[in-house]
Amino acid sequence: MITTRPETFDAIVVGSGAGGGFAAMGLAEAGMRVLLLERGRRFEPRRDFPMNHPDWELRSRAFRDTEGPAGHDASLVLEDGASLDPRYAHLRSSSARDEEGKRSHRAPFRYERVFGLGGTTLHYQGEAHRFSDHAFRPASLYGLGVDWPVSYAELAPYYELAEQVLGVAGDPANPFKPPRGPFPTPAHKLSYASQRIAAGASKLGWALLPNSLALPTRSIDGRPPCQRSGGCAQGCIFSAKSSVDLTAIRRAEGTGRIQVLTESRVLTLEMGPDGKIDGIVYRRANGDYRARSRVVLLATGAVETPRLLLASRSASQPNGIANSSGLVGQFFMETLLAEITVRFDQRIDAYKGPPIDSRIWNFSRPARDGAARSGYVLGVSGTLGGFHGPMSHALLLPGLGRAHKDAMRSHFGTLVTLFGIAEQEPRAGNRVTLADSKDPDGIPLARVQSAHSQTDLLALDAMLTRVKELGQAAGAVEVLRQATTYDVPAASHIGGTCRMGVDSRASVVSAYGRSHDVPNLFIADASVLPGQGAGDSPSLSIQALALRTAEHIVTRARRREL
Amino acid sequence: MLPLRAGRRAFLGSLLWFSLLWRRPNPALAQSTAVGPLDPSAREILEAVVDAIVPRDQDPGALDAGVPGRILAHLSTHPEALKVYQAGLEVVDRLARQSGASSFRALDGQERERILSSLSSAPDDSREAGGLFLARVRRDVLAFYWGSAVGQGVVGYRPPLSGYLDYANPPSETRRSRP
Repeated sequence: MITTRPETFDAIVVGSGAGGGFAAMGLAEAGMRVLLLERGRRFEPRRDFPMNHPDWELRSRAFRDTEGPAGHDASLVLEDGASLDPRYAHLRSSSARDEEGKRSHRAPFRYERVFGLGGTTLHYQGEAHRFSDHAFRPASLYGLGVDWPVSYAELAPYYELAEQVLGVAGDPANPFKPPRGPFPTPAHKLSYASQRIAAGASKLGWALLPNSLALPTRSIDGRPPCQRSGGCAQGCIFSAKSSVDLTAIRRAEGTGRIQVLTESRVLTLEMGPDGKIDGIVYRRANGDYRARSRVVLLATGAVETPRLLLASRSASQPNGIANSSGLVGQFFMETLLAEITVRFDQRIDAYKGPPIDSRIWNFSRPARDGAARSGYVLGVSGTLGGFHGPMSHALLLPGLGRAHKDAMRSHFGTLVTLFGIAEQEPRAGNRVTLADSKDPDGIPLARVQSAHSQTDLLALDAMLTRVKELGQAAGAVEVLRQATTYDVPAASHIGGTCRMGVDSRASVVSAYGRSHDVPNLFIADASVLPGQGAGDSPSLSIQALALRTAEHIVTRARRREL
Repeated sequence: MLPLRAGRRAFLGSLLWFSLLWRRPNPALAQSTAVGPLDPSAREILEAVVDAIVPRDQDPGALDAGVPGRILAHLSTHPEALKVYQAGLEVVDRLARQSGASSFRALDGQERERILSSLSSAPDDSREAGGLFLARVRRDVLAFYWGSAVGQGVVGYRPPLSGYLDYANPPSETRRSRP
């Protein structure tokens, strides 16, 4: 039985992460009455996050046990990926090489999701990047991917507003980025580990620059500045990291015009006879509900949004909602990642400081290494690769007994991970589809298919070469491990499954995130991204686009065009 | 190059396991229990195994950190894990006796390490039990030891309860000793 709520909202926002939270803020602050639905719960940093305790490594991560036993993702079909190109076997990850040396296909795609108010910003590392100007025109400039229907110049004011809300810390003097004004808060000083790597980068003629981070260096909105705990991924116990629950959603709640319902999972979208979304059905612990609004905005991410649209099929919409183009789920982009963990002969304590406090943008423009390859950005991290506190180090070092204990004493605090992230070429064959099997709520599981193009493999190869050069130049004495997405996929930056565009036959939504098919349906998450910003992190772009979409909705609503 | 066998996925697997273990922190897990799920003989072998995985040297070992008690507390509520431990401890002691010792406990540290390291390649009838046990007990002991204040102190690690405002400075000397 479904209980239909009596009121009609101006807008329903589904999902409270980077896109949903900012869209809800934009709508509520413009006077709209908003219902925000979030599948997970609201977290209290001083109560819920493990780093409140000295033995934090022995405690479960707050975000990993929200679905299925032991955090197992019950929403995906786990199956081997595409076959591996043997010409690039040198890209194999250490773990796969040692444990699964005969693997002929990529490991199953796994989706590191976060259910909770704030979405993935609860565990992200705070990277707040404006995409470079060239990242909006990859087809015109480099013959790669597709041009965006929005330019950097058009998005810049929304980037600026998002940065203000987040209190982004950064240095405007980045020669690889478009000119800009000061950041809301000053850049973080480089960590000691990054200072060591910067010296190596300088020898190579590269510039290791302070990262731009939603980790304010000054107090914002009564929250303390970043304490450099390195604990972003476990949940910031200081409430210093500008996750969306503490920023945009808090501002939206301050208007008094938003109802936030956590632990509420949307099951389906219902189409009305007029071709608009007529209602949405969501499930709470005490039953199923139907809510109605003039506008529905989806922001559940690059897998869940197409999953929900495809699963909401009906006799009148046999291919799912908003899918006349057949492109819902297509052009999936995963994360192209190559990383090594290196050891120094001295203690550098890279686990201290913002987790990714520095970046190298020298290679952010696409190039031709024989064939075209996308741009990429290198970075330094004390926590990537699974190394953080002593326990994680101990579990990753081999052996036992005296030798292992000696290795712990000599290795702990001397390791740092160097990595590169590139843009995956968007291709129609890479996609999210529905499986026959269903989850406990009756929604078909998602199947993710993703294979590398030659362009992708060249980018992985280039990044691995560069990070090895960087480690050597910086004086590292040993490479402990390498990991690439050649054989083990990564999902920290995914997108593209409901891409935006001008042509309704070649895209799912407009430049404002509005469905080409359903006039009161909008999307504001990573699924609308036509590209991945040449290796920069997508959160700030998702937030800027969400603000732009919200503004568009308000404008159209005031003109009574919705 | 150090041949690192475990990667990110192994690490995540460990986290998942600990998610199960610590989903609801239990004060009873804090220290050794007087009555445990293993008989006295098996408990003594377990203590020898724990001591072999993180031995006492110039720094405290796993016995000093109370690791056996934490394992026993876990086994008392996890019957499947208990079966793995019981079978593995039997294999360990049998291999020790086959090498001429009266028991695993009677071996010196080097021999204990050798037998533990050989578990994955033990004779066919005990390879599976030995391999499962080795993977599990190694993970348990390393996690309980290096996740504790004792282990953290050995490598000069200070948990980030108050952040690291010294993050940009060269690390100060720690009490870590070099081999």
